[in-house]
Amino acid sequence: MNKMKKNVIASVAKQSFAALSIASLVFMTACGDDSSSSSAPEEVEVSVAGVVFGSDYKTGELRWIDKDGEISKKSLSFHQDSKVVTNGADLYVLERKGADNITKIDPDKLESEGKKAVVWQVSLDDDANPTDMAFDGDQAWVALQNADSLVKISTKDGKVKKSIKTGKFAYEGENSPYVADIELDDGTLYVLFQRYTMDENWVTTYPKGLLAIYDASSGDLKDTIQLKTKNPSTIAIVDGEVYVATHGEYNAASGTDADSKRGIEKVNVSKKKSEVMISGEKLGGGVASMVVEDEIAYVAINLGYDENYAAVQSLKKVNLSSKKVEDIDGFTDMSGSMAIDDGLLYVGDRGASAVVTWNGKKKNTIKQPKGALPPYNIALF
Amino acid sequence: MRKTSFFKAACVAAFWCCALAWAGSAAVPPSEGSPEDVSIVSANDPVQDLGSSDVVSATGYLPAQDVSYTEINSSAWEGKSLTAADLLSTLPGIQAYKQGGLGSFQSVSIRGIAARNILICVDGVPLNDASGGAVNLASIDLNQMEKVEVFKGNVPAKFGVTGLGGAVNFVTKNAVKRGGRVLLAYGNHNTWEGAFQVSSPVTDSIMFASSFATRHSDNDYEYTNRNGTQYNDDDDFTATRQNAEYTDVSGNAQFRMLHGNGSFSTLSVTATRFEGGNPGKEEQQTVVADFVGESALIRYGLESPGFFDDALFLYGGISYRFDKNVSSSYYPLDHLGYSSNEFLEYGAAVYKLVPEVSAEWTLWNRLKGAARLAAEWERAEARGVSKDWALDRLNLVSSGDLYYQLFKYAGLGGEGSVHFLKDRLDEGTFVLPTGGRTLDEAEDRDLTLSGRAYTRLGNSEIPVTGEVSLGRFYQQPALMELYGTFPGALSNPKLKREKATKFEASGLFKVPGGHTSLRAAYFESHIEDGICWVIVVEHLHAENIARSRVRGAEFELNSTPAKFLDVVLRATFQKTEDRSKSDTYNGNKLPGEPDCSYFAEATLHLPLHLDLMWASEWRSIMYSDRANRMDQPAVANHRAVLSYLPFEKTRLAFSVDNITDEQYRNFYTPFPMPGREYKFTIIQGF
Repeated sequence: MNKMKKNVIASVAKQSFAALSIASLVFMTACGDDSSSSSAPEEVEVSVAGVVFGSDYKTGELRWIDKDGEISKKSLSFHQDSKVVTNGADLYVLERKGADNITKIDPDKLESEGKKAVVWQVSLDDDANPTDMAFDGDQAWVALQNADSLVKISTKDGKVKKSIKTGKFAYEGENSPYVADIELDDGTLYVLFQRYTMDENWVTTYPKGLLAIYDASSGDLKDTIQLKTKNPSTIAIVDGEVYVATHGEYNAASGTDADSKRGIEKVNVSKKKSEVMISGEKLGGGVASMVVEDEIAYVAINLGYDENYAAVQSLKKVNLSSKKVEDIDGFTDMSGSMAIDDGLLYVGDRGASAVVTWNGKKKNTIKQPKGALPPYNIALF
Repeated sequence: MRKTSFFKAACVAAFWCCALAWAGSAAVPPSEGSPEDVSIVSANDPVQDLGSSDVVSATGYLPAQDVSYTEINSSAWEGKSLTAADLLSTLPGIQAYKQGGLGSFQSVSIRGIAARNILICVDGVPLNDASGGAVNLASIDLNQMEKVEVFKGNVPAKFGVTGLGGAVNFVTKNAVKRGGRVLLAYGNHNTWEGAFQVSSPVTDSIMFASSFATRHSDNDYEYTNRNGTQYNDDDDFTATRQNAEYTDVSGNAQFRMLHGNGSFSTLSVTATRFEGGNPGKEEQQTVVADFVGESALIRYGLESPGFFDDALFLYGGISYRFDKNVSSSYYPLDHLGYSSNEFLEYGAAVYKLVPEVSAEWTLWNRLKGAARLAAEWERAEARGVSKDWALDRLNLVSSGDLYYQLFKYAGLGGEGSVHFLKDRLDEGTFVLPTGGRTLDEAEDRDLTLSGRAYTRLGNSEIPVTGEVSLGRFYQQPALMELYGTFPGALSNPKLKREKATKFEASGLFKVPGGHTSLRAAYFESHIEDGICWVIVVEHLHAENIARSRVRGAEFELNSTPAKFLDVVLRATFQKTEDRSKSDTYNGNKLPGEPDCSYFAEATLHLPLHLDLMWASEWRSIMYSDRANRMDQPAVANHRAVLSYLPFEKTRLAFSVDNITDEQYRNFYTPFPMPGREYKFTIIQGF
C-alpha cells in the first residue's frame, strides 16, 4: 500500500447560525479524508486497505476495507464526530468536540481482535477538539480546533511532549484561532487558521485566513502569511509548493457563489505572498474539501443544501500545474469525505449512505453490510 | 433581554381568582335548599371526580373495566421515592426514560409510541413543552396530585381524540372534604420534600382548597467517571455530581361554588416554578449552566345540574396556561454548545387559552354519549438573547363519543374528532435559522379527522369482560417543530402530520370470590410519517422519516390471596420495528423500547399497623438510538417501603430504592444515575 498521500481537506468559516452548522459539517467532511500528513514512518504492509468512519450524528463506528475491497461486517464504536488519520502503518481516531480523545489502533488486529486492537487512548482537555495530525517520526503534531494551542504527542504512548501557543492569532474576543488543517513537510509545520468569530446570535464574522509556519522540531514560529481569501479549508504541499483551498463566505442558500472571493491559492513562502491561482469563478464555488495526489486535486464545491439539509456539491478535477479544471459528473455529495490512492478516488456519499470509488472512468460502489452508518470520513493506508 | 413578570402574572391571577370567587359567592347566595356539606353534593356530581385527600396505605391501583385505562391514586406513590416517570413505568406497556436524579429530564412511552406523542395533562389541560418535544415529567410533583389517569390506547374524547399515543392526566388534590394533611420527607443527597393541603368550607355554598408543595435535591451522588475513554480503564476515577441541584415549588388554590340553580362553578389557580443546574454529561461536568421553568394555570368551569332526569349534563369552561422554559450556560466554564465568551440564555414562552363546552347524555339507558367543542389559541415567543420571534396557532377541536348497548353482553362504540389548525407567523414574515430562509406565511395544515370504533363484551355481572378496538389517528407537528428557533435546532415548515393505525384487544377476568383479577391486552400500531429529531449539520432537525410497527401484549394480575397480602404482577412483551427506508435503520428496534419488562409488587399488612411493600422490576436491553448502537443494558431495580400507621391520620414510611445500587449507563449517553436512595416520609392528616 502506498502511503503519505497528500490527501488534503477543507474546512470552512461561517457567517450565520446555519452557516456555522454547515461549516462544521464541511469541516469534518473535509478533514475526514486527510489520511495522513507529512513525514512518513517507514513503509509497512497493512492488512486492510483503508478505514471508513461512519456516523449518523448520534453514534459513530469504525469499519475497515478489507483486501477484497469490501467494508467489514465488524465495527468499533467511537464518538459520533470522529476523524480517522493514518501514517501508513498505524491508525489514529480523533474523537472531536465533546469527547476529545486520541486513540491509536493497530489496523492488522482490527478484524481478529476487535477492541484489543487499541494500542492506547488518551484524553485531551475538554473541548480541545482534535482535528488533524501531522507525523514527525515517532511524534506527531495534533491540531486542536477549539483550543489556543497545538500539541506534539508521542506516538508510542500518546503523552504530550510539546505545546505551541496559538491564541495570539485568535480574532477579537476569541480564544482560539480555529485551526483548519496542518501539514508537515521537510521539517516545517504549516498551520492553517480560519480565525472566525461569532456573536450570541451565531452570526459569524471572519477576516482573511492565515497561514503560520513553524519549525516542526522546536515548535518555533518562523513566519505568518495572510491569505487573499477567507475561510480556508485545506492546505496541500506538492513538490515543495504550498496550495491552500478556501471556501469563502456562504451565500443566502448556505452555498457559495462562483466568484473570485474563494478558490485555490498558491503560497510563495519565500516572498510571504499568496495569490488566487484558480478562482471560485472557474471552480463554480467555494472548496468544501480537496484531496491531492501528485499534482492532481479532486475538489468538492459547496453549492448548498437541499430542503432536507443534504449536501449539494459538485466534483472537479484540477491539475495544479496546468490549472485545468474538469467536471466529474455523477457525484453530488462528497460530504462523507474523499481520499485517493494510486489514482483511485474514494468518495463518502452520505446521501446515498455508501462509499463510491472513481478510477477516472467509472464509478463503483463498495459493498457494505446492512446497518452500516453513513460514511463520515475515509482514510487509506 | 426579554423577561416575563411571572410573579406579577401570578399575583394578577390570584387577584382575579379571589375576585371571581367573591363575585360568585355574592351573586349566588346560598339557597334554602343548599346542602350543608359540599361533599354530599359532590357525590352526585357526574362530570368531575374530585377524589379525596385521605392518608391511606392501600395498594394504589384501581382495577377498571377497561383494560386500557388505569387509575392510580396517591397511596401508590406517597412515601415510595417514585417520580412521575417511575410511577407510570410500573404499569405494563409503559417504559420510562431518565437522565439522572430528581429534576433531571424524564419521559415515558406507551405501547411503543414515543414520548412526544403522549398527551400529558394536568386537570385535563395539556402541558406545553416550549421546545416542541416530549413533556418533562420531572417537573410534575406527585405530592400535588390526588390521582393519575392513564389512557394507554387512545386520547379520550374529553381531551380531543387527537394524538397518536395515549394520554396521562394528573388530577390535583382539590376541594372535596374538610381537612387536610402535611407531608414531609428527607432522603440522601439532601433530598427533601414538603407538601401541605387544606380544604375548608368558606360559606355554606363555597368550598376552598389550597395546596403547596416543594422539593429539592443536591443530587451530589458519586459515580464512576470514565473520563470519556471507553478503551482506557486506567484513567477512570470516582467523581461527585456537580451543578445538579434542583428545586421546585408549586401551589394551587381552588374555589368550588354551588349556585342557586344547582350548578357548580370551579375556579382554580395553579403555579409552578422549577430551577436546576444542567450538570452536563459524565466527563464534562458544568459549573453554572442551568434551566428554569415557570408555569401558571387559571381555570374556570361551570357544571350544570342534570336535565331531563339526569339524561343531560353540560359543562363550559375556560383555561389560560402560561409556560416558560429558559436555559443558560457560559461556555468558558461549562463547555456546552459553541465557543462563546458571552453568557447565553435562551428559551421560549408559550401562552395557551382554551375555551370549551361539552355535554354528556344518556338516552334510553342504552345510548350514551359525550361531545366537546374547544378552541385553543397558542402563542409562542422567544426568551433570552436569541432574536425576537413569535408564533401563533389556532386549534379548533370538535370531538365526541357514542356507545350503544346492543344487548346485555355486548355494545358498540365509537369516538372521533375533527381538528382544524391554523398557524400564523409574527408580522407576516419569519426568518428561519437556516441561513436566510424567510417565510411570508405559515404552511396551511390539512383538516384532521381521527376516529376509533370499539366493541365491549360482557358486563359487571359476569367475570369476563373485553374490548376490541380499531382506530386511525393523526397528530399535527408541534409549533416549535415547524418554526422553532432554538440554538442547536433547525425547524422544518414542511413537516407532515403523523399517522397511526392502532388495533387493540383486551380482556379482564375476575376470579370468582373477588380477590383476584387478571387483565390482558394485545396491541398493534402502524405508524407513518413519524417525526424524528435527527441531527443534520450538527443540529437537531425534525423530519417525517419514521415508519414503524409495534406489536405486543400486556398482562396484569391483581390479587389479595390473604387478608394480609396484596400482590401485583405485570409483564409486557413487545416487538418494535423501524420500517423506514433507510438501510441503516430498517429492521432495528425503536429507541427506548425493550422486548420485555416485568414488575412485581407485594404488600404485607403486618401486625402493629406496619406495612411492608417490596417491588422488583426488570427490563431487557434497549437502545437509545435508531441505529441500535447505544445499548442500555438490561437492568433490575428493587425497592422496599416499610410503613407505620401509629394513629389514624398519621403515616410514617421509610423507603429504599435501587437496593442493588445499579448505575447502568451506556458509554455514549453518560448521564450518571444515582445509586441506592433512602427516604423517610411522614404524613399527618387533620
